Amino acid sequence: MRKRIKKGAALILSIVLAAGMLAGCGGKDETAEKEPDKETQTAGETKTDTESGDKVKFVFVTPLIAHQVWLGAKEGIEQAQKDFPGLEVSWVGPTGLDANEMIKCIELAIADGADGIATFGLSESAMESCFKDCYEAGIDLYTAGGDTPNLHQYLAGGCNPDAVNWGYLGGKEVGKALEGKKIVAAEMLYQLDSELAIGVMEGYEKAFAEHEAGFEVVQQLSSDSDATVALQHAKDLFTAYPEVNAVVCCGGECAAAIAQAMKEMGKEPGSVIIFGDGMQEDCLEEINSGYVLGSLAQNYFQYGYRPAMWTYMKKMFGAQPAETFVDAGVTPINGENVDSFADHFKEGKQWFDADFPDQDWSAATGAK
Amino acid sequence: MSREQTGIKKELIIKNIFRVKEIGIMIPTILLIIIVQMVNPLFLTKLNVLSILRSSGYMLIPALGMTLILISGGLDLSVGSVYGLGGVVTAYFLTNGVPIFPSVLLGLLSGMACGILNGVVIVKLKIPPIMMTLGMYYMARGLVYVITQGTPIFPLPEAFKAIEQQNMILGIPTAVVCAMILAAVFFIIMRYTVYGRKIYAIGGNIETARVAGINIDAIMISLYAIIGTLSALDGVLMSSRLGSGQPSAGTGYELQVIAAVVIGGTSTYGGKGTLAGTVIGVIFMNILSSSMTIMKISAYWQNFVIGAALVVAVIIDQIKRSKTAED
Repeated sequence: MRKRIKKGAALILSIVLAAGMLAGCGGKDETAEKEPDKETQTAGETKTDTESGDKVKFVFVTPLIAHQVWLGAKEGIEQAQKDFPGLEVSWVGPTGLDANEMIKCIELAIADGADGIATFGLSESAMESCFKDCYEAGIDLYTAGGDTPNLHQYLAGGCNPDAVNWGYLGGKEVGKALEGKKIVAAEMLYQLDSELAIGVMEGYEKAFAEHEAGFEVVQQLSSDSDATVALQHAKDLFTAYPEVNAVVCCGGECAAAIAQAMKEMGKEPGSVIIFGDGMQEDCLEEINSGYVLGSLAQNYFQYGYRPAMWTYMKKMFGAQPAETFVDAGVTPINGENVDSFADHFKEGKQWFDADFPDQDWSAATGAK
Repeated sequence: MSREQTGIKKELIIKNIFRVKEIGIMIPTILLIIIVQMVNPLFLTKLNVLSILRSSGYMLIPALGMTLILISGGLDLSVGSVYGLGGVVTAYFLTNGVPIFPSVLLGLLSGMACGILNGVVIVKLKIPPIMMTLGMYYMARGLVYVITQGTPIFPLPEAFKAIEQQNMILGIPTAVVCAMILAAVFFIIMRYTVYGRKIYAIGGNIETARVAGINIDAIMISLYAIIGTLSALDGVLMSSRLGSGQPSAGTGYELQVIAAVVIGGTSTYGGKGTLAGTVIGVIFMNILSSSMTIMKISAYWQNFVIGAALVVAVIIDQIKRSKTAED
């Protein structure tokens, strides 16, 4: 009797867990299966390959499938699917930073016959072989959000911020705030071995080197992408280096956590210049409060939208973008524009016009 | 008193000190404090001591539960994920108009539910604890991402933030007060109650405990429920401190908690361990972590130094235990 009850309980538990798994899996494929919304479709359009049934498959392999900042890229690919009829997009990737998992996702996309793949260049050395596989399979591969400069021979293009330029912009802002004073800075990275983060810090130090009063970088810390770790490290930093007057970040969770550390240690806003990364709400709140000087926002929507658009235009119209490797740029956020900096972030047409000046938006999107 | 008598008395005092179970971890902790203070005299300032106590308080809360679990012969790898879940569940309800007390209660209940599920599956279906709690590690973290959609849940009500950000009792942070109260409660339970004795008995020899009539299933389920609730409580307090429900909070936390408990002298084989040892182990771990930055050690060397210090601490503790066993 007891054995039967145990077996029954095990069976019920397994069914419940399996149902949960299926519910979760459904969300992953949603964007691929959903038909794009078409507000209008002009009859007799002369697009050569847009007969019903012609699909363009695009896969975005994200480094963090459920991270807030990368969900902006997901929004971008979904908007591209809505704008460009026949484009089918998929959003795949691991839950934690893991180059091997990303490589598996890319290989699956190759096997699945994708027309275009975009991914974040987490690690050149790790990803080189799968980039080569992609190239040999004739699939257009783009980097988005983080470049792999030594692997361009395998890439169809890229939409990446120039990490050094990004840090340089931030460093100049810090320099302005500390005019006349020596910059005594600490650097907080989301991951110590991230090539992107290292590039950003290079940029900061390049700007600091131009600071007339001089600079010193006293410590480099890792937040491990966790605000609680960032908070404790910041407190230790302020104890070890009371002379620190600037903390620069690469990692969306850092700035607000460092601000909290300042509050807990009784430091006044502005006594330590914090320069953040990204546009998380808690960071923007601290810009408003004065604890954080500013931040640099990447437009993750662009990272999804542009490669998807490029794939579609190449497959459907044989059109190449004006530049294949673009500097996505970063938008400085400060106390003056904290509520308006993102106003133009999600306008796909601005990139279409920039990338395909000779093409017609209406023809491409099927709009009247 | 003659010199000989004084000498014997001193020897007896030293022997008695070394008989204290926790001396094996106390020695490295004291040594570490001395070394760090020598390298950076700002280490023992009031502000820094409070900071270390605060971070220790956070770690101690789930570590108390982990101590009980390890003494009973179990294991829980889902602590960090349940910590994250407790925080975001509370934050979710707060931002949807639910008052503070029910929101906190729901956060705690989410942790308790995870713990109960762990316990029931482990004891009733005979799934090894490492497998079930590893599964819960993924499930709970997955739920965190489902609830938050990867975005910190923000902003939280000022009154909730005040719990950890402002309300200090006699200048001591709320998390530390909670941890101290819980430590005292569990100390009494483990030392002076039948329930505590049963936990040791189960961990010491489960078959003997069964033959003696101890309801092992009920006790194990209750232990997993306790650690689940404590982990969620920790997450709730951290959400109050950060003013947001963070989706990545607690990632990898379980390893630190287990390390602190094991360093404190609790055996991973079950049957042995003390809460006093856990308290010292937690303090050691937090001093070790903070000291890396305070001693201005390069970030690239920090993991190596932390690992080496852990090994040294465990070796010292093991030497002490071997000598005690010989005596």
